[in-house]
Amino acid sequence: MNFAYSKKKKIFDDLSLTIEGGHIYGLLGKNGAGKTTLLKLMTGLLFPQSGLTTAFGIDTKKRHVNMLEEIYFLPEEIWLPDVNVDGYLKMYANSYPRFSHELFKRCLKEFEIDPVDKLKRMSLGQRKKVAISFALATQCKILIMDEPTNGLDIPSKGQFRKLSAELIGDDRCIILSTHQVRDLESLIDTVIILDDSHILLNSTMDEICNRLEFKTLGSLENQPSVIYSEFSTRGYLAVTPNMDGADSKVDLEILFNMTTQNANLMKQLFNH
Amino acid sequence: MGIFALIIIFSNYMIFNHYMDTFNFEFWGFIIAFMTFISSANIFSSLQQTSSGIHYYMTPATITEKYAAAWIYSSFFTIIVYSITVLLVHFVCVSIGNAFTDLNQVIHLPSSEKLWMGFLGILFYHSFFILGATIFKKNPFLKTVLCIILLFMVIGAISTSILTWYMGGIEGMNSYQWDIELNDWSDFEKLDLLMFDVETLVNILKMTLISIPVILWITAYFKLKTRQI
Repeated sequence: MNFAYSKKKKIFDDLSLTIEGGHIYGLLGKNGAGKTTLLKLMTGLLFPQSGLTTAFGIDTKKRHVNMLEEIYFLPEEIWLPDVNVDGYLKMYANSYPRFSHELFKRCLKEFEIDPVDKLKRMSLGQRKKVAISFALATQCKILIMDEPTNGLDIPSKGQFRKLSAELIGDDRCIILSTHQVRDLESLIDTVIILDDSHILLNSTMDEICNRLEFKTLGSLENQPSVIYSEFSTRGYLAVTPNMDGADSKVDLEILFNMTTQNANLMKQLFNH
Repeated sequence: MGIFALIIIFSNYMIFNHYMDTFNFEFWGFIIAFMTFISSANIFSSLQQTSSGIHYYMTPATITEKYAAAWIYSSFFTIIVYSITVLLVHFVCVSIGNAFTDLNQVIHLPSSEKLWMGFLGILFYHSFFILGATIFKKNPFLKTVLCIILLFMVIGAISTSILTWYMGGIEGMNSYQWDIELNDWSDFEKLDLLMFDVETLVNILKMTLISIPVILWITAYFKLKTRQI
């Protein structure tokens, strides 16, 4: 599909992407790369100029009820009505056929939120926790979250990761758009990197581990296999091709910088 | 509603020398209409902000259901609620007046024909405001009012041009007898201007007045359906 806000600048040019169940996707990109725009296109909030975006075989443009019941979109800036948590549940929970009140209560308990409190009187972080709890409790097949950890305190980020990981099943997927890669590094199993109106990388963490090795080196001398490196206080954070099947932990920040700076090399490495 | 009721009491009924049994239909009709138009123009206020707009569109319901809910709320619901408030306050004031004064007042309600015409009039303009609500992101009420004024100015100018052309210019218009008193539609026949009979003219006007709001409501529905966030 193609999409542009104006004739001068295209946001997406012949972009093609398939999202499958059973994965937690991490959508990464620079500011203005089109992450939120892509999420809006996926949910039918924006319409592509040409091409098609579908969910469960339904054109998202049609905003069909069956589709809306299975997609939950949690934007970066959340909106909640001027009621308490129970009132919010009464208003919206019935719209989702698989909404779990037990799961919602559990999430609130984990996040230490009192359901009697008025939503408007809560802090940004507390309101975000309520919104995340609601999003998880809908048990929608596609759960899309834009910068979900923004505004969350340190313990809540861990609780969010735990609850999200528990929820994922073969028929469900979570798409997380974020700049806070460190917050979600352990949660994401597939990485999508957007840049310059194209998808530069769309690979599972396993595939990345199989092809690349992430290591810390004291010096770059006599290291001809290093394809990307960044200096840090610990030494050089380096990436080399994984020739001998070594097991290393993917550093999403390094991966992102490497991909956006060496798009052609990444295309060769991942055969895109 | 409470504030609205207090305004009614203090502005119209609590003045001792006021005829309490007089129900000022025109004034309160205008107030009810005004409140309905404000409600209509702001019925899609959630679309003014991205976050609330996303919440609105992502809530599982068809656009038809969402539009129908907005339509009913901004027209019937608002009109009924404000009308009940006005009538209740009128009833209370007359009752209090009768209890504490020597006046023996009775509650005068407007005729059903008057109420029906008022209701239709509100619905006619409601269509403009609900369309404005789907088009304008900021200040939909003021912008719709401006559009209505502009529209009537344009219609006035076009009508004048057509009439002038039809009657053979300003000189032609001057040659007509204009001192006929127009009390009824049939009086237009005295002007001897029409290409068709008065009944046809009335039917054309009726059809126009019915079709305008219907077209605007349908347009508003499609604007809502195709709006992007």
